[in-house]
Parts: sequence; C-alpha cells; structure tokens
Amino acid sequence: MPDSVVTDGKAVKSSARGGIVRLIIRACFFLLAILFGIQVLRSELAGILPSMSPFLAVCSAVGARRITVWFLLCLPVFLMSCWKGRWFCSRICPTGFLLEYAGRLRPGSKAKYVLWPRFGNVVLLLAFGGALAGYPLLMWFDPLSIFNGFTAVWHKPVTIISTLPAAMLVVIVLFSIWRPNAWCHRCCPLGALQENMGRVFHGSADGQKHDKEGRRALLALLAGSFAGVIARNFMWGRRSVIRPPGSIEEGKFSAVCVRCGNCIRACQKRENIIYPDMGSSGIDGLLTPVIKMVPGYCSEWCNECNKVCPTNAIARMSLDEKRNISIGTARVLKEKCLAWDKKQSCLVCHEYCAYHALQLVDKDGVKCPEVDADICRGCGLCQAVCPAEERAIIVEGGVQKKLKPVAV
Amino acid sequence: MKNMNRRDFIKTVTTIAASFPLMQGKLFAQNAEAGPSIFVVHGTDVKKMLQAGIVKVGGWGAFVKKGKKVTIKPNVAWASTPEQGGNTDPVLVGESVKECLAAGALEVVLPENSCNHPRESFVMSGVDEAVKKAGGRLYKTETNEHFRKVTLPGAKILKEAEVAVDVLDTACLINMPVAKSHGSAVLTISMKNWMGSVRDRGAWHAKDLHQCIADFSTFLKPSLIIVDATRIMLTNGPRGPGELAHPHQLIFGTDPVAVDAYAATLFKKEPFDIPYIKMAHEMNVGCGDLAKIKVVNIDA
Repeated sequence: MPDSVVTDGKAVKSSARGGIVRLIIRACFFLLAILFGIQVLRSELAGILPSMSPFLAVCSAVGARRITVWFLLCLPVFLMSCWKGRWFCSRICPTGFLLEYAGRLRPGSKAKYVLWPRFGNVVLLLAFGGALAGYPLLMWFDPLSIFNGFTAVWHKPVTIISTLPAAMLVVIVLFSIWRPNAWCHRCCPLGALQENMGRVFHGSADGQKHDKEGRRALLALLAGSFAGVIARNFMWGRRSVIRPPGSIEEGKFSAVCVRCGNCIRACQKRENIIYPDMGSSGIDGLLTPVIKMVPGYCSEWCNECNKVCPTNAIARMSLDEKRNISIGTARVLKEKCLAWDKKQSCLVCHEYCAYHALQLVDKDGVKCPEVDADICRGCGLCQAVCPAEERAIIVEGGVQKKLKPVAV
Repeated sequence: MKNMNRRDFIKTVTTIAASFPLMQGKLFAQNAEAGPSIFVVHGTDVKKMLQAGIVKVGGWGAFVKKGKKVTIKPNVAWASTPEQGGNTDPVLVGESVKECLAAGALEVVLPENSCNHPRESFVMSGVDEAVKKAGGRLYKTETNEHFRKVTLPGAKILKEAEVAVDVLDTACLINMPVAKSHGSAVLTISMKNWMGSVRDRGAWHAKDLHQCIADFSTFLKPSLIIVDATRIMLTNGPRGPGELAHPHQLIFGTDPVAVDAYAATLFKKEPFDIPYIKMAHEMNVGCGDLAKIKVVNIDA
C-alpha cells in the first residue's frame, strides 16, 4: 500500500490513455483548488479543500472541542482511505499533484527516502495527542491547508509578510525537487493517516512490525498530549492581541489555526484588517491572523472571515451572531481627545458607532465621549475615524465576549 | 382687530390671497428687508409634495438652466433604510432628478462623501437605485480629481477647504438634506449637510465645528434648499436608528439659516440654542430669527 504513487507512475506508462484521463482529472482538481482558494467565487468555497482532510477535521474537532456540519466533508477521503489507502493522494490532492511533478524535474533521484522513518505518522500522532490535550500540535503540516496558504496570499499589497503563509508550499516543493516523493510518503500527516487506515482494514505486508509500531504510536500520542499541555499553558511571550470575531480562546488559537490564510484573504475583500502575525501574539502565534484597525475596521456588514475557517479556530457565524461578538473594547485616551482635552464639539466616534456604545458625559458644558464596555464590540470604526491629531480612541484586545444584540 | 367687520375681513383676506401668485418666484428678492420666506409643504405623498412646493418657488424652470448641469446634494451618508430616516428620502431625490432632466438639465450629478461605505449607505438608503432609475449620477467623492481647494474669504476659522468640484462648478446647486438629531452639531439640516461635500471634515470637528459650519455657508450659496422632514430622527442621530417623529413636511427655501431655524422648531428647539444657526445669523448668512421668517404652509 505505501509508495502507491510510484507504482501508479509505472502503471501510467503502460496505459497511456488512462494516464491522460487521470492527468486531466488531477489538473482539474488542482485548478479548482486554486479557484476556490483565491476566493473569486463565494468565500465559503475556500473552506472546502482543507475541510476535506480527515487529519485536520478530526484533530481540530477534538482539539478545539468544536464541531460543525463541515466535518462531514472529511468523510469521503476517510472512507476511501479505509478501502484503498492512499487513494486521494495520487488522484485529487493538489499538493500531491504539484509535488509529484516537481519531483520529476530530477528523474534520476527517485526513492532515496525509502529507508527514512515515517515522520508523517509522528506528526499525525503528535497532533492527535495534542488535540486530546486541547492543543493540537503541528496541524499546519496538513498538505491541503499548506496549499490554501499559498493561494490565499496573492492580494494587494503583496509584501514579504503578507506572502509568508505561502512559504510552506514553496519549501515542500523545493524539498520534493531535492528528494522526489519524500514529502508525500514520509512527511505528510494526511498521507500517513490514509496509509494507517488502509493498513487497519487490509493488514500490513509485514505483520511482525505491528507490536513495535503500536508501542511507538502510543508513545508519540502521549508525547503529543504532554507537549500540548505544556505548550498550551506555559508558552512564553504570549500577549493579548485582537483576533477575528468568533476566534477560539487565545490559549488554543495558535494550535487550532493552521495558517491556511483563508481568513486573511477573505478580509482583503473588504476591510483588509487581518494580517499574518509576526510575533506580537507570542512565538507560537507566528502567522496566525491578527487585526490591525486603522484605516479599516471590523465592519458590521461583514462576516467574511466567519465563512472560511477549516478548523473552527474562527467560528462559523451568521452576520447577526457576529455583530454580538466583542473582539476587544475601545478606550478613550482623554489627554488626546478633542472633546475631553480641547473642549471641542467633536463626538465623531459617537456619530459613527453602529452599536451606540459611546455615552455622552458633560464636562464644563462640553459633551465628551465615554465607552460603554457592555455594548462596545471593539470593531474599531471609532479609531479609524477619530480626527484628533493622534488617535484618541483605540481598541484593546482581550477575551472575546458575546454581548446583547443592538439594533444596527 | 376687535373692530374689524365682515367686509374688512373679506377685503384683507382677498388682498393677501391675490398677492400670492404675483409674489411667486420673485418673492425672495422682494422680501429681503422683511425677512425670508420659506414654504412648508404638508402631506404624505412625497411626489405631490415636491410638485406643490416647487410650484410655489417658481417651478423647476426658475432654477434649472437648459443644457447646463444640475448638482443635487442629498444626505446619503449612512447605512440606514428610508424608514430609519438617516438619509434623504429616495423618492424625493429620484423625483427631483427626473424633474430636473425634464426641465432641460444636461445632467444631474449627486456627489456625496458618505460616512459609511457607499455599498451600504448608497444601497440601503434606496437613493442609488432611485437616482439611477431617474437618470442621474450619484457617486462617492474620494479622489483628488473630485475636490478642489478654495479659500473662504468671509470665514472666521475655516479659511480654506477642499470642496467637491461638482458642487463648486455647476449651473444649479440644490441642497437636499434630511433633518435629524446630531451628537456634536445638535441638529443637522441644510448648513451641516455641506460636510458631505468637503474632503476633510475631521478638521471641522477639531477646530470649533459650529463656527466651521457657519463659515462654510458664508461661501457656498445653494440655488434652492429642499429639506426632507417627512420623518425626523429625534435621538441617536446622525446615524440612528433612533426615536422617530413624523412631521410629514418638505421645507423649501433659499435662505439656509431660515430653513434650519424653522426645521429646528420641529425638534422643539430654539434655533439660536444651536450655535451654528446663531453664528450664521450673526454673520449675515441669512435670517434665523423666527419672528422675521415668513412661513407659508401648503397642503399637498
């Protein structure tokens, strides 16, 4: 069952017509994956590809303790793997397609990885072990989220930071040129999962290895759980940032988020306030989505990021539900405020606030703004429109809360 | 009046009644000393109300120049439905565009520097659709080409401003605001509506908003003002949704201060309690003294 791509590769030569049909099918899935990933159609479609991975679906559902109907999307691949092992890899997987052809660039160097250990299995077990502990490690090794990470970043302005989520695909393509097929067969956790399922239902070619592997697997699971607990509770340098609405608690976010870039891409459609983090949330939060307010804000008319997350790091929510989530709370900096400090009739923040979260306080006959934290959603519109020389009202991140609905 | 007999009474009434048609159109110039006139049309059908009001001020022909551009400045600033009253009524705007074109206007443009994004404010207000149907062009002023810097010689504080080119260069400028409450300006009616025609309104808030509003009206003189007071937002303005009242009125006039002063009474406010009305009155932009303003009520 392992190394089926290689055997399939030989089969392709013997039946040229079948090979062409398969090539066309794979190319179609590849193009479809790009089309969905760049979100030119409905945003929701971008969630389909990574949601098809049973590795992501199971680990994120267990790790996040959140499950939605999107979980069902992983069943086809899972069931096929029980029947045919790595069936998905050489027929549908767009990353597999890309890596296979990258590997063919150096035809002489095949199969050098055969003696390598199955790293993919280790990743799989560590992730699942971590998921049991509520902190699924290394989920970003998933080939489908890696593929999305690449398609999601090509938006304006293209900067080094904005394109970083694409790096993983570039790395594994280069890796596959260096050692053809090695990533797919030895490193990919989704491949390892399918291989394992195939083995469970069809038996291994070498039955004796089972005992040893079972022990190793248990060990890796325990190691994953242990590392998950450690990482979740003792990760240093973690700081409070503003996350997209509906984000899972900060302690889990950096693990449940697979850096697929879908939410960043979705936000570009409109307000362009979600960025891949460069360490402001802590070292484990690298490339996770964070919100920077000015000049945009988290619009009361937008829930694009709530449509695309494949792992529920950002919950799927309707616009109405999203409007009741506070992603932070605004704070008036009185020493900079035109009303508080300069006695101006300003109140632009009060004027714009969709939720009417600003109360007016009388100070020497001048009406001054004060934030009602029970209403403020932290959307940042006030911060974006504040006309003071330096912004006199800013949103500070914190634990997300569900607030009472307000008529918008 | 105690001694007035029936004959005198009839005489007086007929004289007043007869004088109305004669005064139409020329009324504003004639009454410069006696104070401005405004026409308040009461009704529920906006189309009929618009027609009745425009006849009183001389008909569209008195304002629209044949083959020339007409600029209408509605208030389409907020993501607000027509019922919520955050924006000018779409029927009023659409119908005016249609009538201006029918009166021979080359084109009708509606520049608006909306507060909320146009995809909400223009669409939710219904104004975008109404204007398109009528053949006008509503657009968001945002690029350099949309604005031109001007100096305001009569201003106290706001010495210069970047103003929408289509507001500056036009043969006929119609201010078409909606009356509603406002956090910092107390009320927003016609003079405050020009903030949607300038680029940097934040600067107005930073240096005495009320004086800036009055200053700007020393500079920009509309050909006609039509205030939408069919429904007025009493609280939570300018964005709303807030508590509503329904005066069912359209207010026509050319004196912005008089129009604003009258509209303030709909909110049960003394006009001179609103600083920019008082300032504009004192700067001779117009007359905000209710005792001098002649209010002509019309039913439609």
